[in-house]
Amino acid sequence: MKTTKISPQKVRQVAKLARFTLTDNEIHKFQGQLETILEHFETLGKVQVEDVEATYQTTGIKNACRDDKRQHCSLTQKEALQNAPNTQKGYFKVKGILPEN
Amino acid sequence: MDIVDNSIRETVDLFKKRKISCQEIVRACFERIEKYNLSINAYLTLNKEQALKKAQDVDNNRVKGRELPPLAGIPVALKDIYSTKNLRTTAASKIIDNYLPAYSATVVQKLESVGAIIMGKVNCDAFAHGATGENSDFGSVKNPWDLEYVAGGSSGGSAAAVAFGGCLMAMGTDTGGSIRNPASYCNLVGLKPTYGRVSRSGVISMGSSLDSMGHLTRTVEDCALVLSVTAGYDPLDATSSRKPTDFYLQDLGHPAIKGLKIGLPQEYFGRELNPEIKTLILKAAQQFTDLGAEVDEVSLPNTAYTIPVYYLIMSSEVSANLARFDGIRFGHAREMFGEEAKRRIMLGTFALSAGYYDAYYLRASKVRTLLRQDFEKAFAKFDALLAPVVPIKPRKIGEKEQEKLKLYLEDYVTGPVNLAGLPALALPCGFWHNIPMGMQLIGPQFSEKKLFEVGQAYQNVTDWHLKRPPLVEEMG
Amino acid sequence: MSGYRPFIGLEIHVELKTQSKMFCGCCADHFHKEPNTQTCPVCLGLPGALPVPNKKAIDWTVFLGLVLGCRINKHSYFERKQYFYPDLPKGFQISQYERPFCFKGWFDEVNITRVHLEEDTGKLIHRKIEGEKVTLIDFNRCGVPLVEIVTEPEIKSAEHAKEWLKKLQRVIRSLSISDCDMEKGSMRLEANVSVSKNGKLPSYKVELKNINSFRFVEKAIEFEIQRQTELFEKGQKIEQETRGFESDKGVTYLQRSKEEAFEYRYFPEPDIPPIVFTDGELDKIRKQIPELPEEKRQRFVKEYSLNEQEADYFVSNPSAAQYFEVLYLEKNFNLDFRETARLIINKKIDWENISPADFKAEVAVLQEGGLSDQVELAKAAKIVVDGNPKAVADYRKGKTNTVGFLVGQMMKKTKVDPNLARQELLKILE
Repeated sequence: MKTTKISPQKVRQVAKLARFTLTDNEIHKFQGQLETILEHFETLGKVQVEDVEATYQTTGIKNACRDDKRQHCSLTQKEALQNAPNTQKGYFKVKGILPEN
Repeated sequence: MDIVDNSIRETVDLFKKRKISCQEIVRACFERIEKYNLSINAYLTLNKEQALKKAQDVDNNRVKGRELPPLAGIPVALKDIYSTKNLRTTAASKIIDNYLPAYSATVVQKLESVGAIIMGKVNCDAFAHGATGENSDFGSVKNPWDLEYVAGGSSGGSAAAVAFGGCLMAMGTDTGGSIRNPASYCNLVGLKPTYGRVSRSGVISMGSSLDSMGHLTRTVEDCALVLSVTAGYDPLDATSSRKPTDFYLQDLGHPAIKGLKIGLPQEYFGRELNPEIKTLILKAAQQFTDLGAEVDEVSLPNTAYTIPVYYLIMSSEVSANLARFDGIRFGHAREMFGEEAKRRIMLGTFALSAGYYDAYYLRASKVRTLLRQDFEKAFAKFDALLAPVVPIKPRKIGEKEQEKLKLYLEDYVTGPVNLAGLPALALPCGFWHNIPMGMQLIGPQFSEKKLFEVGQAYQNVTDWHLKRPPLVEEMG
Repeated sequence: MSGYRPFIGLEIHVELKTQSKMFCGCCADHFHKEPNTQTCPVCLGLPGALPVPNKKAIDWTVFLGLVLGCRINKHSYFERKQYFYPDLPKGFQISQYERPFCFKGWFDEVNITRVHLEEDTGKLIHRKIEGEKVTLIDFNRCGVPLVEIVTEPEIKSAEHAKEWLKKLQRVIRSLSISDCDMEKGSMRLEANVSVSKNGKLPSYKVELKNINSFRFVEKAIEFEIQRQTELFEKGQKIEQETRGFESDKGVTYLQRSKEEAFEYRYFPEPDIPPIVFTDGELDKIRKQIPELPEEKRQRFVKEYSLNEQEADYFVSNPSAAQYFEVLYLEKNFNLDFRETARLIINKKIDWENISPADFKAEVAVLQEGGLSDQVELAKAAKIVVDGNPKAVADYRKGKTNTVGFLVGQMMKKTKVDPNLARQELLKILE
């Protein structure tokens, strides 16, 4: 189990992954809070979990799929765009980003 | 008693006997809202025009002698994370304070199809993150029993709305105790169904493998009636169960308690449990014994790991579920998330990140299995478990903010149920000073019918659930 | 070249041509549709909407995996691949990581690491509107099923990559699960390139993106091998990075350095229970595997004594191949295989519009010369037209195929060259 010290750099990295812009004060605040919380979780490291399978689902359901059929549940273009702050002729619009793929 | 203080069942009887009309009850609820909502802060958005119109339709149909569906004319409030088509849905967060869903949650559609009247959307901890109702970006929900106290959370608005007569039932969600906790605080019956019993489609996700769609009512009978409507497989939710639903109301008239084995998890009755609350729960245990049940102690040995397991899994799922709030298709920029949401997202992102995944998320998921096995072993010997819901003395508004640790340690009595995907029914069982106190009955998966029976048996010999809050308008 | 050996691995994305999308019932055919007209709460990533997997997409993925010689994970599940990008509405892509449906395959002498299933993203259009740089987003494509095929870094050269990909494309098309068209975007590629002097697989790899034709694959890889070799020869180090390909200039350029690399934080998708296959189900899928292009080509060469080009034609045109083989099912057709092939390939007989029986009749006439006198032809044509009013009416309604039927009728009565017969009939019909 890792030590519960988190560097400000790590907090910045996590914030970046979470798409948050944090001030230095906020970084410091989260650093303290996360460290306290994680310290509380140290007991988890002592549990014997060899040969224990993880639980990701409590239902026991398998193969919950659907047939390849078209449904009439689609939204109209107007409905799809109705909450967007910026649109342009049927498209969602954001500030220009560098083309990737 | 005012007509808004009745149960659903009593109201339906009054409708049938033509003693009151649907429009009367709906108007009476809106009067309560007008009088008390400002101080209690339960409702965020009202659906008045539509509600009155629908009430009129119901009354017209009744006059014409048409057969009416089970919840026809019954005023309902929805926790503001249930998507309602073209009715503002905010999750009590500024980040989507203007969001109009283009579709309604499956449960909402089901309720509407049986005649329920949607009164409006009620307040909660933003994105269901909290256990007191104080994390709302639109102000805390206050407890109708005493405005200085919290109404519980995260479904605080749902509980308060029923408690003060702003509706007769309310939908909430329970991810770590968020229906049972406010049910306890507001003297209501609160059901957390088995995970997968009620569709999650259309409800803003918090912890995807933990969220249960449940409801708050005044009586066990009402609770069973509502589950009859909301339960069932939904093709839009791959985690919803195809197991057929039960006739939940069937045996409420003659609940079979004799010989029922009820366990008291000793880890929930330790030093952390407030002594006055312990007394109330044990009193209820005695009442079950008097009714013919066999009450005994049982151990859930891994209980101590609940908080880290719950918080790591829940935060991880939350961090992914809230990633869609990027301000492009709806809502505002991510900076508008409240502090609690940001904290949980940060924690979850950390727990899933490279180098930490194994030690945190994966390990928590494995210990989750151990917690599940605790219950499996307990249910091999017992039919149900009896436990507290709020193990600490009720919180006053503002108390939590002063605490250094940002976790709700009291979640250890409610959280395990969500980790194991089990059903639990919260029932009023007394008062801590002037604040209601509840207990919970926990059962194996899909045992809601049995839980209702046991709850009904209790409500047959007690009258906690009949008490109503001394409503006061806040001065000034 | 100077002792540096290239290690090339390929990542291919193939859009499946299912009716509906991967996790919702929206129409999956998104080509040339008005923007954002084929979305629903699920593929638009609206709060509360939940994914439900498309069974056919899963079956087709396993199908493709088996064709590519893969082993199948009988217990498999989807995972969340998390990153922020405007074309990704949920802020994560539902994909696979730990347990893909298919793994450890082999195709045309190259090992396949994995074949897994995921959902496609929306489409971005970069524009300048009133002097401002904007990006427009269309989510019609978002949620369409996408199969990802990853190879081991065993491709030996740029040319090898191109040839291998062409073969892969042919196979995928023959399965009818995807149009696999690079121009339409139903087949997309990325190449991972590194070089090393000591023959061992290097610790870094450079990802090449934005390659949208076979020709560009070859050019991009060639350029990149050259670029890396030159850097090493200068004594410089190369780190993990992502580069795009600029097709006009034929160069690769830096897109993302190692530091800027996405960290995906995969974890099992909690909204979708695991997928489990029984042996029976896998056998059923296995049985559906058709004769693959290479097998078919070899068989046509061997069985019918065709040459490579002729065999290739039939591999690329499955309906022509089927017609050809049906002709020889019964024993009353003795025409030389290659002659028949030529008649079909050169469309000397309108095989697409007549039955095999009529085809045989036309061949018989051709062989014997047949009626060629203009007047007699015209007479015969008129008799047929008068005697088949329904067929004529159908033709006039627009069913132009019926002329084939009428030609057959003429040939039943008299020996005539089918083309001449057609000409005469058309004179009357028009």
